[in-house]
Amino acid sequence: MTADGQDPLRQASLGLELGGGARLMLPRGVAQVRPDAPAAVLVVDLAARRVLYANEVAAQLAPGLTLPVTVEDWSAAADLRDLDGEQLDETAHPLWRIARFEPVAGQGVSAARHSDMGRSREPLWVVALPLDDAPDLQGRALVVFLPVRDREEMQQRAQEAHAAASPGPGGAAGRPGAAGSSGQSVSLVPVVPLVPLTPSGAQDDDGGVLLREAAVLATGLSFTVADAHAPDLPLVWVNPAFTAVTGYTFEQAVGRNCRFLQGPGSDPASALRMREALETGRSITEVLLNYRADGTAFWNQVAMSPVVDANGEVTHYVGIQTDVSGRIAADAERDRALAAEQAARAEVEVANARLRLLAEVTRQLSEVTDARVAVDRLAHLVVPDLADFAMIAVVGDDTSATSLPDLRYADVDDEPDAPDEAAGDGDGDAGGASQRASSSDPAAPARPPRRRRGLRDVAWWHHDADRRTLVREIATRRLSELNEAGNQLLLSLLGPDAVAVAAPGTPPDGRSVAEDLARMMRPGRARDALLALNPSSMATWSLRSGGRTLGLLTVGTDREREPLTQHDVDLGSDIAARAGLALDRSRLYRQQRDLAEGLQRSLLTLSPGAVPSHVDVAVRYVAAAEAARVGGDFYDVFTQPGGAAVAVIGDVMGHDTDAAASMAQLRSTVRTLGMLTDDGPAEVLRRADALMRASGMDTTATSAVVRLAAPGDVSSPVPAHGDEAPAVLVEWSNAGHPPPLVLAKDGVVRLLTAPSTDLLLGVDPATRRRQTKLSLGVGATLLLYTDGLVERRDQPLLQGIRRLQQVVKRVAPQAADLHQLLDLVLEEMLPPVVTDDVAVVALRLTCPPP
Amino acid sequence: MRRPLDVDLHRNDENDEVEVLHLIGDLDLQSAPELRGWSSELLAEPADGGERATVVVVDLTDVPFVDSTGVGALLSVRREVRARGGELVLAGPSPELRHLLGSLGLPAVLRVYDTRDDAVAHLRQPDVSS
Repeated sequence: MTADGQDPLRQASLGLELGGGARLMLPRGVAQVRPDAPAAVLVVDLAARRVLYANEVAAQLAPGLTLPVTVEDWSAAADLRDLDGEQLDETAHPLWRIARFEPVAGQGVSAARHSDMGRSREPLWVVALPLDDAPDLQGRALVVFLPVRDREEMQQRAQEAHAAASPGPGGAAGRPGAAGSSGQSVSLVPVVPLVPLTPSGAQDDDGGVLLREAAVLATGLSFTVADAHAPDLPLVWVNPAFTAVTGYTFEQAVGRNCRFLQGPGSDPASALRMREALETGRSITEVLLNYRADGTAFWNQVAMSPVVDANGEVTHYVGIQTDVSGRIAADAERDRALAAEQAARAEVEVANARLRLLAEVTRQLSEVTDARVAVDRLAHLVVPDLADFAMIAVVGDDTSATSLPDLRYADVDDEPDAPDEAAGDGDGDAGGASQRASSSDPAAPARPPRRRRGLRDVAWWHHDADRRTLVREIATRRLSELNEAGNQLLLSLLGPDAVAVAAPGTPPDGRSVAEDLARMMRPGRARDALLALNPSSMATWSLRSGGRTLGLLTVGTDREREPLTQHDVDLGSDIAARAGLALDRSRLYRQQRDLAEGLQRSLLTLSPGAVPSHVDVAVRYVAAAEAARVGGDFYDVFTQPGGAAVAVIGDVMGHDTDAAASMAQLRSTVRTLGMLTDDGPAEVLRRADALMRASGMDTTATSAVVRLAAPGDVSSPVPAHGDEAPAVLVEWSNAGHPPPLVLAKDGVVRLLTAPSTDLLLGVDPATRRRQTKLSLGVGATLLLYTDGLVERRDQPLLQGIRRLQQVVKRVAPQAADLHQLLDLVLEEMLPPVVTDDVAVVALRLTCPPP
Repeated sequence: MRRPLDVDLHRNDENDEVEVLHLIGDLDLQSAPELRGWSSELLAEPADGGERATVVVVDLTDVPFVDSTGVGALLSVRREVRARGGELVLAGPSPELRHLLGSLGLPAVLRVYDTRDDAVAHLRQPDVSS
């Protein structure tokens, strides 16, 4: 708190900038005249005490009068009073004072203000000066009523100026208005304190200005009068303040058009606007760069107002001029400070944006375990924040996978070029794709990879779809169309901390970036596309992890965009470092999953010779999206010695390599037991359980076995279901597995369930196993599946099975064959991200009637 | 979403033959290996050389979700307990879990009680060794 109890902010905010860096603290209770606001101007005949001429503002101030009028009448019409609203007596009335040839240097009065809000009183600052020196204005006086800016407004302006100026660095250096101007340019001139300042502690609670209690600041006001009748509007009078400000004496100024104040830096447009206003009799306020007699410049605010006579004819132009160099300088300083602040803020914003981008890259890449998704995301992440387009090449991993070449059929890096397939779409992901295993070998050997230095562009992006085509052209071909120089550059990029930047200035001889880079390439489509794209800059970083180069990240800016800065290149290095680690992790992850999945698929191959001829078979295996989830699902279909078809579905509990190994063991156990004998399903399961225990398998598994009797063996103990279609005997046993589903030819769907389920395998070999018989008509379909198809965290098993029945019933009429049926069922049942592996077998009875 | 698994082992007194394994959280693919680890540790020979518990009650009241891997882990613990001559029973499964156990045929070999108290009360009665 300050001594007088004022709000310190209020107090401080009244400080005004002065030219030259000084600050003037204005005491409370200071008002300021407003030379820029329209002033009322009168020309008074002193002897006759009559108002001869008036400008428009004066006519509004004292409405309903016809000139000339007596000063008494004019005063009454304007309702001139003192600042308290009391009548002015003869000694104090400014018009009376000037009529007594007493110059009025400055005095506060109030006039009635007519407005829609009603009548109120407006404080005015009156200056009255005899015009005796003017050749044709003898015995006359100039009276000017200036509006006063009230304290509230003043304070607000001061606060704005303070706020705007404070963030910038202090000091007077670089103030445009201060240059070349002497101390005269300081334009705040404290004028007459009317009454002593408010005693400390006193409050003005009315909030309005109380001019009677205020000092008034009139800022270097000077007055001029020009003759409207004489050619070229010559000045006929100036006051001594004009001489003080401009350095031109009365004699030097009078008789000339005021344009003599203009100089080389003056804006001709301002002068033109002023002349046009004067020619049409309008008031105008302009800020002009004027020149003093000594050649120094100053900012002159000129309020020019025509005064008219009784006939409404313009007789004179009265100019009220103010040296506003200080304000202009303060404004310029404020603008400069604002600009500096904005620039600083923009810089912080840019830095924040970079950090955000880096964090986002790290976050997004840490989420993905699929290398192809990772690079695709990376290409989208850096555009458009870092650059306009991006291309990412990866090195085909040829280390661990070479020992298992036939497991690598799903490796994206080994796919032959498919230039028309947008790698950015990510639809080449093999993780969620179902696979047909019925007729062709699912583990088909890998197509021979086509590699260039083991490097291949797998992702690209441009935010502009039109230019994306060019970027794709470059990305898909650049590595194969490099010339010797290009290959040298590529080799150098495979080392540590490698970065290549092509930006304006780096190519010699003033070549463009595109032309320079084109020299690295053989003539071809990539080179053509590069020249057509014509980027303003490009940069390439190596993506590295653990001392190995895993790929390259290339970005570029369009010709319309500013080239990459050093900051951008540094940011790109950070991004490349993170991307390298993410890529490495996803590779390890994929190798692990490919290994598990490949092992699984190879185990799940149906032996063509073992598949019975009287049934159609379709199978699907969908691996879990996460490597850790690839588990122990299995299926099998084979023929028994007696010709019966046997379908097996099973799920070894656990999702690890142990589970996969147990699955393989159990599957071959069941197959061996089932294929060598004509044992029924229950006996096959019982013996498999016993073998598991005997061989010390520490796992549990669920399994269902269904046997479909051979053609001809149609001795059906159960009546054929529904119509008269031929039927076959079906026997099944279930060891804790989700119930197989039957789709009859007529579309009815039901489950193969028993009153209670038999125990799963691996718990108690002595458990009793039941075998259930039924007869199924030709054309009926059996669906065996694992729980991954029906069970999810948000969908209990029972609910999932119910849903599967509905789905099968609904899609069955649309399916042309068993494969299509499985595709439709999987499409409906699988979640977007498969969290558990899923195995499905479908069998359809096709045997003709005997 | 998923709740990580936590475990509490209760034993009323040193001579009590009933031990309660109170599981809290989801028993699924991720926590199943943890359960196996804990069970071999918690159910090991008491440090004071006292009698080892012969009956283990797995309290599933606070296990909202169990998947098939989780059941596999329970069966694995059961096998360990039985290998040393003990028995394992379940208490307080959710209706979903009860159905899952049923669909695996487990009620034939695995006793399931509605609550932990039911299980303990029943097991303390003489002649429940079967």
